[in-house]
Amino acid sequence: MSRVVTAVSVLVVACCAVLLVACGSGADEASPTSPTERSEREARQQTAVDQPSEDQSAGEPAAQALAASESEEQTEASAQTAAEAVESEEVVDEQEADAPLVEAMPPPTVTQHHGVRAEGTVLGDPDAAILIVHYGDFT
Amino acid sequence: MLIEEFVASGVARYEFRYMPVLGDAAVFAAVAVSCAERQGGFWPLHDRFMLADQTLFTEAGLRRQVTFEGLDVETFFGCVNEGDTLSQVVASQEEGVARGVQATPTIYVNDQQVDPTYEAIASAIQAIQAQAEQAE
Repeated sequence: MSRVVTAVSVLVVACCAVLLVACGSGADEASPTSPTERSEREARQQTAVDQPSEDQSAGEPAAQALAASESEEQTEASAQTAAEAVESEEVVDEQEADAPLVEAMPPPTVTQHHGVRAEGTVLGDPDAAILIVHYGDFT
Repeated sequence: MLIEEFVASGVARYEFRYMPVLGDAAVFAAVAVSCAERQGGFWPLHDRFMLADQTLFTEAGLRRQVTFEGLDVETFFGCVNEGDTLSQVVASQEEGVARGVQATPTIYVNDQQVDPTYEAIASAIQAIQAQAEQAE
C-alpha cells in the first residue's frame, strides 16, 4: 500500500511537471517577444508610422496642386483684372483723346462787340453771303 | 470802317483765324486770346493785342486786362499756363498753311485772296455783290 501511494505521488508530481512545462511553453508561444513576431510587428508599426507620412506626403502634392491651382486662378484673375484695367485705360485714353477736341472747341458764346453780333471769332450775321477771313498774328 | 460798312450792315461776316508766324510770343498771344474766347472774351482782348499793347506780354498786364474785361482770371490763367487751347491754335495755323497762307495779315473774301487793305477788300465785296445782282 505504501508503495502504491508513493507511485501515485510520483506519477502526480510527474504529471504536474509535464503540465508546468507544457504551460510554460504555451506562454512562450503566446509571447510577443518572439524575434520573428517582433520583427513583423515592428515592420507593421513602421508601416503604420510611415502611412501617415505617406498620406501626408500624398497630401502635400494635393495641397501644392491646390495652391498652384489657386495661384493659377489668382494669376488668371490678375490677368483678367489687368486686361480689364487696360481696357478701362483704353476707354479712358479714348475719352481723353476725345476730350481735348471737345474742350478746345466749346460752343461759342454769342456776345456783342461794338454793336455787332459776335460769336467766337466771328463778327456779323452768320447767314451773310460774303465771308471775310483774316489770318492774323497778334505780334 | 470795314466792319461798320459791310459787317454791321449784314452784307458780310468777318472771321479771325489764328496764324502765329512770328515765334513764341505770337503763339502765347494766340493761346491767351483763344483762352479768352472760351469765356466769350475774344474780341476785346483781340483788339488790345492788335493795338500792340506790349503790357499784355506780362502777367500783370494780362491780368489787368482780363480783369477789366470781366473774365474769370483764375480760369483764364489756368487755360494759358496749361496751353489748353494750343491744339486749337495749331489747327487754325495748319489750316492756313494748307490754304497757302505764308504771312500775316492775309485776307480772303469768299475764298479769293485779296490784299489786306480796305480798298482791296471793299472792291472784292462789291464785285461779289455785282455778280449776285447780275445772277438774279
